[in-house]
Amino acid sequence: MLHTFIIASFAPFFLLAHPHVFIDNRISVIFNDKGLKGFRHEWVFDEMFSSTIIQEFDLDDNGKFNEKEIKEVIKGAFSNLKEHNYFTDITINGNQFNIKEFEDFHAEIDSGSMIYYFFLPCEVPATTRNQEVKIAVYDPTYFVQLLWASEDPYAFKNTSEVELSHEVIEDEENSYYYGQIIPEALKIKFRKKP
Amino acid sequence: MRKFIVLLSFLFVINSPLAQDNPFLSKGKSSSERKEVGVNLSCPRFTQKIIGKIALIQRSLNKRLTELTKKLKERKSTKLFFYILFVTFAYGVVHALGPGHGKTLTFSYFLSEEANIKKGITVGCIIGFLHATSALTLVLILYFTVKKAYLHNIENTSAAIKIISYSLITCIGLFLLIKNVYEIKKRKNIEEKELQSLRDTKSVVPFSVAVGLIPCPGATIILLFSLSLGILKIGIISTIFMALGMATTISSVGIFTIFAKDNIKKILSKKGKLHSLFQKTTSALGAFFIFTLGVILLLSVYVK
Repeated sequence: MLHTFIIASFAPFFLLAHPHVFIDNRISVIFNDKGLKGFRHEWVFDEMFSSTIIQEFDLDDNGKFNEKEIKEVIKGAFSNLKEHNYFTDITINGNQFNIKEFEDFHAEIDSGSMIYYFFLPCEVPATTRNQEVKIAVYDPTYFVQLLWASEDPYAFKNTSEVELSHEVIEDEENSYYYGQIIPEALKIKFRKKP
Repeated sequence: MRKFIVLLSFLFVINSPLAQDNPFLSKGKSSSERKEVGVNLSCPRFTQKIIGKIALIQRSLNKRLTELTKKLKERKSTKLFFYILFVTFAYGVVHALGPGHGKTLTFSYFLSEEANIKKGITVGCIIGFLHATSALTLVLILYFTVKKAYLHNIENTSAAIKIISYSLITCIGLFLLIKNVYEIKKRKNIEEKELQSLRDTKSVVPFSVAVGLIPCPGATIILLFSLSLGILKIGIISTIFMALGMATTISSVGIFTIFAKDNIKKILSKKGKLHSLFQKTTSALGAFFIFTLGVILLLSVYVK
């Protein structure tokens, strides 16, 4: 009781947000012949927030982002997410993985919604023993609420060389906002095919 | 009493001071730092559920509002227009229920200051409306001047306004703290102080203005969305209804605090000494909370 009260009383001093932006999130888990290669994200933004970004970066106002505009989107409304780890938390066999850089960023507009696609490299070799990789996508500042997309939230690509199992778990270890929110993580186990 | 403490805890948990920076635009804290903050803390399951539910309701209201506004652009309909106003009002209520919007500060303020329902509503209305009006003013200024890079300009201006707001909050907290210590030292009669304080509704203005100054990012997004559809006027009216919704929530927090405090005082009034001790402690504690929040918010701007 006292424990809860103390946490509860001091929590607001550090908490500073609430969702203003809503993202439907999809992940493609990409393998190659050596093992895991990384994760491809697809973020579909809510139309309201999308409109604010589109107004600012679709400079020719044609409802599409051209290459030059995409560069501006990266500079103005994406690259800063490095500071926030691209809202992605990855552990490999229980150890934290540091995301270095993103690759293949692409942005497009589909019926008023802005979509970001990008790849986060995370190489984990497939061995004869099981490797366990956990990925959770959330914004700890809670400015953005990221939830799994309702259709096909995750997919696995090029898995011919590995034996694979997966489950979606309530990632209590990563509960954020002073334990108020528990993200859902995708837990993958894989090893080399015998 | 136990119930009261649980309620207080809940109120604190779901509330946080003020607006947050847009992570797409502003520098964040390093991931390791962020991890440390949340580590090993657990929260009652029911709080987690409520927070999750609030966010989901907000998500669906946001979607509904988008669809309705787009429909209204296609075909003018009075019925649809009023429906939109109703949804934006609800969006305002739920939006202010989530962390932010100065509810913790409102709670602390009424812990510190003597108040009645009229004062509670005044504080809620000033914060709610100013929070939205501030966003509206910024968007309109940009609309009539630079006409571009709204998001970045708003983020930069908000950063400056935040510093002003946080400084004011710190000063008000410090002022209330000094006032309380002075009154305790002077052994001022509690009843006399209560009467004097209740009569003066204007005294809540500086606090409410300091808290409400910061432009509401939620209102900004609604305004920019309506601007992108070329129906800014509807966006402006929607923002006013959203402000009304936020004012309802913040006023409720104020009234709830006043009501809870009054009830405890009624129980304690039979025991004169306890009553006076409760009064002094809550007043000092509330002032201390406001001051500390102000300092921490200020630090959060400079220490990243």
